[in-house]
Amino acid sequence: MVEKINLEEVKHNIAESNQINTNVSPNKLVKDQAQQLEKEGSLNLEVGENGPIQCSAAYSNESFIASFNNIFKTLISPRDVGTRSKFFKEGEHPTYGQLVEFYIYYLVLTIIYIFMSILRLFQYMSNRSKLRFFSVAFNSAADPEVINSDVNKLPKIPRRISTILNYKSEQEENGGLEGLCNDAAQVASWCLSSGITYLSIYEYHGVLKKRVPVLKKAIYKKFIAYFGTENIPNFIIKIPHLNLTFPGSIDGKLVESESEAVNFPKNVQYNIEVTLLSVVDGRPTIVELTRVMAELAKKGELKPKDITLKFMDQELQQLVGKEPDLVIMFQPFLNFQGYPPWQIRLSEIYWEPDNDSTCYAVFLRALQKYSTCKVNVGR
Amino acid sequence: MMNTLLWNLISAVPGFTYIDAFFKDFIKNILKTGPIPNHISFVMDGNRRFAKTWNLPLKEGHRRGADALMNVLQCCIDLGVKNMTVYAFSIENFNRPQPEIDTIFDLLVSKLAYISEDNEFCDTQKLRIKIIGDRSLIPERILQDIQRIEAKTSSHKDHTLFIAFPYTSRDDITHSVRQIVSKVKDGQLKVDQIDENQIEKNFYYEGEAGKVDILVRTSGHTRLSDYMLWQCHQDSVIEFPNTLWPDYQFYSTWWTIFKWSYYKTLQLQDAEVMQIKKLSPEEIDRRYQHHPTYQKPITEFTHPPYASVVKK
Repeated sequence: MVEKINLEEVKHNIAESNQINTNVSPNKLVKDQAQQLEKEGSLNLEVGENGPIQCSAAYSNESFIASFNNIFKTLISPRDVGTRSKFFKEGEHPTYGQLVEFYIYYLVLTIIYIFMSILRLFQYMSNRSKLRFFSVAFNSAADPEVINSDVNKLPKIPRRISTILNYKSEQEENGGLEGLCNDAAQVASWCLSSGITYLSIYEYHGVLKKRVPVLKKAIYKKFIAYFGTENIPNFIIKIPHLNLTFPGSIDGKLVESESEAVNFPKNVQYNIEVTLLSVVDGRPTIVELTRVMAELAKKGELKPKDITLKFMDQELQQLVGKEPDLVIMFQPFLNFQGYPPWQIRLSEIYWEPDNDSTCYAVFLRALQKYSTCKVNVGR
Repeated sequence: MMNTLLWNLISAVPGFTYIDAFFKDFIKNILKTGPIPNHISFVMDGNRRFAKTWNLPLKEGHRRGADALMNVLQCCIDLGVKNMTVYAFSIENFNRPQPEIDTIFDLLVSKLAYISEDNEFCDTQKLRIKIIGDRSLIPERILQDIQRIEAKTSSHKDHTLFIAFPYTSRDDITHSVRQIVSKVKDGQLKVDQIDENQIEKNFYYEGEAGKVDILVRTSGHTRLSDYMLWQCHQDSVIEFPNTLWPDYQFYSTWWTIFKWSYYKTLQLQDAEVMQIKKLSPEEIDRRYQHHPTYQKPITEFTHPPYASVVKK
């Protein structure tokens, strides 16, 4: 049996489609990717059998008035709903009686929807005020000691944390590349203060991966703000699928470029390891791995029966990283956004409904939640 | 617990069952007029804790869970949900004590036999039963029964109940990859053809059912526990209600689907407005070529006479 297959090829293939290119602005990058996805989406529009629109129905950030308006619009022209409704049997032409019945029921449904949107309004307000309260009650004050004493009250903490961050457009508050890097740096500081040494950051478009120097600087600055100039922790940034590692700071000095890294001592003890993930680490990696395995099998170097769960796990750990214990989402609803599927097996998931900022209260509450949960695999 | 007691008290009122059934029909019809998900998936968690809370034997907990499943299924089928998946048994569950494993297996088979043969639930509802999971782990005796049931219901087309038994998502992905690799080796498939769709086609699902629209995991654990990782890590609604599975009945199911349909409705409207922006120019040309004002030269537009203070 082949103990280990050469993953360089997989990495190379994925890397090609995701070249590190610092000339493109992140806004354009996100836009391009969105366009590409839309293009793929419009292909699905023709082929997809589950209706043309494949959007998530988890959450709507519409204002109360807009959702009200939308609901009324559906009542007046239930075109989309009407044609696909399960109310009528397939292939049968509805009689007038059935149509009248449909509209009566649909009116009631619309009324319930309206009540629902009122309910959502109250829910939103209560969630927001709750969050406001928490952010006052649990305030890190950008002080590692406060964070540390908060965390030390907990019976257990996760070894590995993963977080899903979202790129906000530059016009928004705390948006753009700086906002994203700031968020990432903040989470890294919180992790380090609470003694967690492994953090992976998932950002759908991979903006961070293409902007490592900026991220490095942001983390370095944040660490100075948290830990002081005398005591800057060492950190390293990793991009697993490109097989790249970027030493961030060594002995309190920021490593500006690759060439500088040579001057620093080799065996450095890093205090925290930051791994950057994006959508290419999800399904595309598994597909790519399958391709490489298929090639090997064709050449006769790998038998299909040698592909076991353990083997796959080994390879995917190499390509993407270890499974995190806790996934924190700083977004208003639960959506994995294509997070590497292999890695979320037993991870505890935490998100705060209607929250859209990266704040310490959410981080701490996630740790608190984790400390109370019991994982019993199958038993 | 309080809720359940109150519920029992109310349901003891004479005529309640009749009104309840009437009301259920009514709200089902209401919901049916809106969008309905295509695929719902359930993790039936909390049977043992339910038994513990009510001081019942463990077996009774599982039995109540099976009853709850029947109610949930009935609700989904009535609403027109095409595919349902339930997590009956994980590969990791083989770590449990043998008597409990036997209980679950026996219960599963007897329940399936009951709905497919004795009370003709499957026939009246046109429900097909399909097992997804590693069949080599199922004991021979049980496997035979299950295959008989699958064969018996295979002709039904309207709804499908997928039973994940013994299943884990990682095993599913591995199985699919192995399948693809051996196909390539045998020359049935080219390396270039391997993509996400191929992987999906080689799952235990065999390309049926599509992505999961709603995943429900009862009992409040916010973990996926190796279930449907691939199917629900992208644009699926994942619900973690705090109820234990035996308490998750008709109204909970209805509420879950209702919430989904509410957000879906908002988004349908959104998409309709946005659609024109999303379409490519070629697509717009194709769709609107017969529209009267489309591509009319701008000079052909008429206008009222000019009136201006500056003469010519």
